[in-house]
Amino acid sequence: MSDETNDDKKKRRGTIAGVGGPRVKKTLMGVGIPDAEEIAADLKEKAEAAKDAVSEVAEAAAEKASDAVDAVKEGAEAAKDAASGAVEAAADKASDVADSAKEVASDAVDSAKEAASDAADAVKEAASSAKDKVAAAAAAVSSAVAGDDDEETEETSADENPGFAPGDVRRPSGSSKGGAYRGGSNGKRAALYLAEYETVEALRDAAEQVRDAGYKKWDCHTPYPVHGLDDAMGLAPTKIGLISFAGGMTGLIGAFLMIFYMNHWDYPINIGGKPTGWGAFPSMVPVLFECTILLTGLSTLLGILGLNQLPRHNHPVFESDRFERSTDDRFFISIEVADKKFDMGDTRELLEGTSPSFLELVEEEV
Amino acid sequence: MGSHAAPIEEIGERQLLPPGTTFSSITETIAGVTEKPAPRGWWMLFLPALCLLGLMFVCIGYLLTIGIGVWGNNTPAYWAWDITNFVWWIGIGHAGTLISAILFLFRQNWRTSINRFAEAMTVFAVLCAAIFPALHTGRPWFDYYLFPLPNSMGIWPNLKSPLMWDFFAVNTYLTISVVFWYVGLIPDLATLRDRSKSLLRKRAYGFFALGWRGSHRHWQHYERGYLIFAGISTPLVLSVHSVVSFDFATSVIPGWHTTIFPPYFVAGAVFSGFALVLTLMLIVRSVFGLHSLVTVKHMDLMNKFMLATGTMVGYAYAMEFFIAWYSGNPYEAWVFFHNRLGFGLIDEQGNWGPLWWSYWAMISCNVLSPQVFWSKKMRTSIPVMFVVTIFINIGMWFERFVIIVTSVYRDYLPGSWGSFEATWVDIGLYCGTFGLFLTLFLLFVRWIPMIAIAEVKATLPHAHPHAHDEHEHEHAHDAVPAPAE
Repeated sequence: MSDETNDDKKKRRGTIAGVGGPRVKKTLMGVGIPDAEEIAADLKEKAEAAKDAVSEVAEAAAEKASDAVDAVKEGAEAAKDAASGAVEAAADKASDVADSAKEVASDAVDSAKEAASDAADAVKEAASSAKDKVAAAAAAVSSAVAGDDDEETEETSADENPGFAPGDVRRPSGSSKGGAYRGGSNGKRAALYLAEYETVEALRDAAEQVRDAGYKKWDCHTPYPVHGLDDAMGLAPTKIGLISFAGGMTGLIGAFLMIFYMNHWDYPINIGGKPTGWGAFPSMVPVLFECTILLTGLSTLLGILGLNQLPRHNHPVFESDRFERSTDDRFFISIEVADKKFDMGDTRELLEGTSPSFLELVEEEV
Repeated sequence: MGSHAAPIEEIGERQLLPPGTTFSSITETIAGVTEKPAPRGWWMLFLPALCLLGLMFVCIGYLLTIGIGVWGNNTPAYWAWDITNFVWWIGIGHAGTLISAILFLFRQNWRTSINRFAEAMTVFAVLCAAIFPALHTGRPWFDYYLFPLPNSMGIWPNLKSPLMWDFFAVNTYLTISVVFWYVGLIPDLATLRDRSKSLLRKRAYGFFALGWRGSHRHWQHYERGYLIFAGISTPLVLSVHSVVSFDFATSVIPGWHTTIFPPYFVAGAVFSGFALVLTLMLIVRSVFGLHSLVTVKHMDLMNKFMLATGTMVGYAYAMEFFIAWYSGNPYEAWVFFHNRLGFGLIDEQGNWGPLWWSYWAMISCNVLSPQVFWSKKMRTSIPVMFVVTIFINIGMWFERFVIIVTSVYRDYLPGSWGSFEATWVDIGLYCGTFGLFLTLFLLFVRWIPMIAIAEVKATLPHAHPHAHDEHEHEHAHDAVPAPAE
């Protein structure tokens, strides 16, 4: 990326953002196509596949739609003054009617008409000509919501308000690094709502409310494991025990085969006339045991890392300065924009109702 | 971790940590150690440790150049200081696993103030231990033969040999101890990451914190995984010293060929490990001012452990003597009454067993000295416990020396009797491993949270929602901004 000029970047991002590309997964989550949501859940790896598919469509459509992209830009410019609620309205509208990929595509394009009606037509053409239905839908939806997203971020940067008063929605100022990015002048988009609580009781009560509201992509962040949160969050029991067990059994069977192969089948060692096969079983026990433990431990480690999808050094939640206290003495709830039920207004209202000590909309760089 | 159980005031239980302890005061105290400049006491320990480490390298270099003849081991004592040191260091490690795993399973919340510390000790002690058998093979550059690897000779290690059991046990122990330790460290490294003022610190701690964000979805898997680690480490730690004892017990040497060895070794290991944990904890606590987190109550509990395990070890000593007499085996009786006790049986020249003093050093250090802990006053006196723990460490070293050397220096055939004299390389290498241990240990206390921050927090009375005793925290200033992307 470093050898690209800014113009190249602009071009590339413009094309991708207008028709598909990296933003697709995010916007897909925003309007909640069930299949696409799963695809998008794993941010990088799984997006690659979608990205490839979509970029095919994008390339095919790029020439046809280059005018359309410009139109989208213009539309976004024109919509600058629109209220920030436009995003929510668009997302709402889209999510309500999004029963299938097809429907979402057409609906989203409809909702985008105000912002970029010419562009939407062009993209719709591209979408209908695509082989992969989901990818096509993604491209179209992306153009629709991306246009609206831009409104939001631009509006945000225009309305700088770094206030920290409780209950305030914090709007981070634009980053100068984001200058090369298309879209909002700060190159950011909303990622999650983050609510801070001072006591564990407040956290537990808030978690119960969020759970009952039916959110799925949300989380509690605590400096130590808090008991009772499993229920408050409605989490299913962990499956890590199965992974450990499978690892342990692999170790046991592997060690058994190893000893039999090495000391009985391949090269029997006769020491003091002692047996080498089943008769030597008691003398195999220590190594069988140690290998069982070893593999159980290593698979547990991999299980913890795998189930938690760690290491993951980059996460939107780290964009918040307040969040640094999550490893010290504060408790947080985050609700991701990617959640199907997420709505700028409703989600904020819900979190405000849990009386957090602080509430902010965390944005991530695009 | 560690389920919170409110203390039962009716029977005199009190909170482990002093009233007024808050989440942020815990973070501040523990993380502060790694952030402030090292106190003078740390340097006063670190420089001698480095000197000892240098001594270790000198001894190893000399041994590799000349050969293991530079050790005093020779007919009939083929095993001497090297194996003594190996068993001693491995035993030291056992306290760490006991504290982190077994006490976890028993929900002993007081372990949280000392478990990280003890786990680190386990890892370093096992590393020190591994040096001795690795060198004892004679040609350490061929030690990879121990691994079951295909080789040009077409032969495999004999996996039914106790020495291979030992190899597997020690390697598994080291691996699992490191993993267990690291898994426990992840949330605390995240705490250090989030407190970091400099980008280098943030990156370094952040790298090892793996992007931990305290997510409860993560804690759920993490806690269960931690429980599994505790569950497998418990039989593991019992197996490791049992397997070490098989090195002796499966032989036919009088004094070694004993069924009591596995439990006897395990109890001794825990005994010596607790003693060293406490010795070091007393020093570190005073150097870094951790009195509010490692309290006299913790030490009182540890001293009770030492009294219990020391008494178990004393029982094992007595039982060995009983069996030596009761079995009617003259060779067995000879080892115990002549080689060890000294005056019980005397040789034809009318001499005592020449190494009788090592046996008596062991008895007085291991069995007699911990008896002072019956008194609560002694259990809570820091000078007393410091001295007693050092006695116990010495005594446990002598125990291994007694088992190994006094069993072989005068056994079946008087014609093959001999003795054992330690050389300067024996002594230097043993002292040198202290250098390795202390160097690693001091670097650990300096750079890694030496007390499990997250676990200690979970033991506070207001840590879980069912408690209602809430503390108001003073608002700390906003932390430094997140790193630029």
